[in-house]
Amino acid sequence: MRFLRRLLNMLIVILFVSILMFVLVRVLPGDPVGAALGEGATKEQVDKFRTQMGMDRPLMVQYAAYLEGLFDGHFGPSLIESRDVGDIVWERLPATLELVICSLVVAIAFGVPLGIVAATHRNGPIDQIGRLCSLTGVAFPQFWAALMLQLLLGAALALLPITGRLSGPPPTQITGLYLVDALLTGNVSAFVDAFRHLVSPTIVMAVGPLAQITSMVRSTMLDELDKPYVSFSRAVGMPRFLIDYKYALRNAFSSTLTLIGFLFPLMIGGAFVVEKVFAWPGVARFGADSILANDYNAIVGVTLVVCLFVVAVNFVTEELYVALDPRIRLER
Amino acid sequence: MMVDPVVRLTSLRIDFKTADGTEQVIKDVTLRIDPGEIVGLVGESGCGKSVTAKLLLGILPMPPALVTAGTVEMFGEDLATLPAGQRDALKKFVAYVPQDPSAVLNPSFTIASQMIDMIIWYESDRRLLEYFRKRHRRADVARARDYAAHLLGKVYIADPEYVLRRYSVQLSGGMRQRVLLAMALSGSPRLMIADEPTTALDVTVQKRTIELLKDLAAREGLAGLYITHDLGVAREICARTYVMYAGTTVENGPTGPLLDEPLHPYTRGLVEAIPSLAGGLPKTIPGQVPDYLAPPRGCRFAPRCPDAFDRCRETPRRIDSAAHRQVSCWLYDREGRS
Amino acid sequence: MAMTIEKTGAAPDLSAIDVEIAPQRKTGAGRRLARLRRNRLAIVGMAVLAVLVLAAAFAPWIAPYPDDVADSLNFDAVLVAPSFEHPMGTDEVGRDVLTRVIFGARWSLAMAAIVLLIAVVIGVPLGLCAGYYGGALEQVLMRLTDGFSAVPALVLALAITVLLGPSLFNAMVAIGLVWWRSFARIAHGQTLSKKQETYVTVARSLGASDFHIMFREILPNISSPLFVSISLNAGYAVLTGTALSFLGAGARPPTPEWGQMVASSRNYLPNAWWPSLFPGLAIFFTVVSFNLIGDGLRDYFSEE
Repeated sequence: MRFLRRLLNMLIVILFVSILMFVLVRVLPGDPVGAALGEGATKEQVDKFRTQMGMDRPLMVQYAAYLEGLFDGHFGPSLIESRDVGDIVWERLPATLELVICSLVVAIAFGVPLGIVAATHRNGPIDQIGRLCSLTGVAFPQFWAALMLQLLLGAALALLPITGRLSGPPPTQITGLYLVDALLTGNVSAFVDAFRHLVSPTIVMAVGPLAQITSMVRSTMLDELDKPYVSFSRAVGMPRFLIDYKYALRNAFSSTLTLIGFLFPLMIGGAFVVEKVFAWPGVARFGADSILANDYNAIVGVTLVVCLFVVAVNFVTEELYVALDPRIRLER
Repeated sequence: MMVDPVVRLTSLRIDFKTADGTEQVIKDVTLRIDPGEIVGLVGESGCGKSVTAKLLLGILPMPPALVTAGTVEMFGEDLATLPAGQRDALKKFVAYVPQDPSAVLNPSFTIASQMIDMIIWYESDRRLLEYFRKRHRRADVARARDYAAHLLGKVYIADPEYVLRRYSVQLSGGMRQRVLLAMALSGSPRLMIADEPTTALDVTVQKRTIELLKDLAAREGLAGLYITHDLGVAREICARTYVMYAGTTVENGPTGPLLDEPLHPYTRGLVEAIPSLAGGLPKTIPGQVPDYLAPPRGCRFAPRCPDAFDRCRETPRRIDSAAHRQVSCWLYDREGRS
Repeated sequence: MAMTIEKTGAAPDLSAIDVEIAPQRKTGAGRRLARLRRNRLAIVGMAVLAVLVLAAAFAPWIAPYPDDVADSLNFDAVLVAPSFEHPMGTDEVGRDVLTRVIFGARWSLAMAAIVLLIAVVIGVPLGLCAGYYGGALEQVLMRLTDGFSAVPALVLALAITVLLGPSLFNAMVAIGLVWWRSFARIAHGQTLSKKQETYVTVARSLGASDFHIMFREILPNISSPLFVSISLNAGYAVLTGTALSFLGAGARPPTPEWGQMVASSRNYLPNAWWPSLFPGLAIFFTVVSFNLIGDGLRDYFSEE
């Protein structure tokens, strides 16, 4: 029952955002049609185009038509690529997903242990370094860090490729996530290729969230480690490893989970910049381009998809939060 | 043939480094627990009882704390010479009964889960890999669970299955304390350390818990250190008792005679501070516990002692008094009277 | 983890040792010094910020080539590597990078100030009202904030900026419009907890208006977490603003705004690395200093 109510909330939020974006793009100044058709367009051409796109009808009607189209999977034609936005998004989604998922995985896989070690070896060398990194990690402007990394690893040291997702042919398309596809088809060269291309963008995207996760895990673990059950467990002889990773972490993780839910939209925002610098063929880059080109349908479509993912991730993290903490479950 | 005492502390001194300076939390503690006997440790808050307990439990954080003099022996081993791993191995033989049962059970795991963890860990003899393997093998887990139910039965819990399935928040205070006792028995304990275990409980539950502790100690042949500030409880459960003040064991002896005819002025003060049924207000001991950063020279109780005289400016020796009793006070030291 | 124990004599005889080792206790001054040392980083942050503010204020006087800020073409000195005359080198049209970085401080500080001003002025009253009045108003406002939170800040700000027309000022307004939500949430939460305090009931019984209660009674008492949030968000404001400029939606050339500078010089990488490196470095240090101050404020307020 509660599950359904949360689902409904999700849908309401998405609906709300869609209305917001829809209205926003049409109400604010700026004439994309003129821009799309170019300087030499005559007034008749512009008007004809507008009628074709249905932009002369009242707002409510436009919105209704839009929603109708959504159910068929049509997001409306894009002004820059003259294809349906839905198709474009679908095509480019795996690239962004792969990047964001990799970054999230890296941030969690490194951030959580670092936070734990920092907490258990308080004021030790790892803690100091960790705190320094946390401080600086969130301060890097992502676009600049991306450029510097390109410079350093790509150009100066020639260790990694500078742009793009692949240098050679892609693996057979199963999920669209190159790493996964390459693994599934046993295509080692494609795997290595995709991996090398992923390194730089992932580092740039993961640094900020990693810093925050480390800091959050550290402080919640410190709180937990002070609690009586920890000294009791040690008194009865339970090993530190078990206490840290199983007991304390379980209780400390809920705050971290909330943080992850909060970080996810930030990471997607980061993708907009990172994809541009690394010429990554993802949805975010398309979104940035379409915003700059005033491509109405594209803007709304991309924003909707982004929101969908953010809301979905929030949903999942909330469910996990409840699953981890039995006290909440029992209270119901 | 002399049997090794279970615990022997000799002239122990512990310093504690804090941001404000070095605190001499334990000045001179000499304590002995023989097999099968329950020994009491009484004193007011801040006298160092908990530090002593933590030392014996192996959870006293050693960087800020440092043993600067004396010896600590447990089960015949000198703890100073033991490497960390072997020191931890001794914990299996120590049953810890803490003060507040609710704070001590992990709220996110079921009772069964926590007990099974302990049981299997003790079984694996501190080998991490073996622990992981066993913890995930159905047969081993089932066996551990049966043993857990058996232990819960030993503490007179009528329906072990019910308790095993619950989380600690769902159990009453008295029940939680029993679960802790059951957990304490899961190793092969030879020593029980109880740190004011009834303070957090209702009065009615207190009595039952004390009975249970006595019963268990007798049945399992445990030696015990019972820490309390309640002299009445000490009389009930402890064969011998040590009185501690400001980091020093100032007096010790069989509990009955100790409380009936106290020697040390502090013990006398404690006994007189108990409100009696005969009426009259209890006499509290004037003054405060000394500042451990700058404690008084000599006997630490002297500033509050009604019988203090100038020899007290020097630290008293511990001397044997009549009938298995010891006291650290110049009043009873024939040399001091000069 | 072996314990160190000194073996004393066979029969410890304490009466022979009349000298007690005097334990050390730190004096009052020692403790104050220790506290200062803990906040060392915050002081560093404040120092850096002070340098920035001074640089921004006195830019025309301290910059080596003040004319280089606006349109100035100097084809002789195009893309000169860092040297004594040009410590940060020159950019693609021959302008001194150091000068532009110094002037850029003005824009970034202005950006932080304006963004935070807008966000606070919109967000705090909304949060206060939501928390104080509760009921339907609270539900609507909080749903609004939640809805806004589903869209990444950068995306929304980008959209608004572009639709308003790309310019630095519009970018600042856009980010401010996107950011009121976090201040609203803090104000809301804090108001909820302070609402029950005695001074509120007293004020109400004395007949004070709602406005008075909210802004004269509650607001001063929730200012500490707000200040912490302001300084922590200042860094993010600068990051987002420069990112917008980088994408082309914020400052336009020839404004010497750091993000914009990195964008224009991007094409000349990897050979001419300096016009891209130094502005980014400036952003980094600015954000670090804001964060240090924010952390220091948070520690300071939590120690109270």
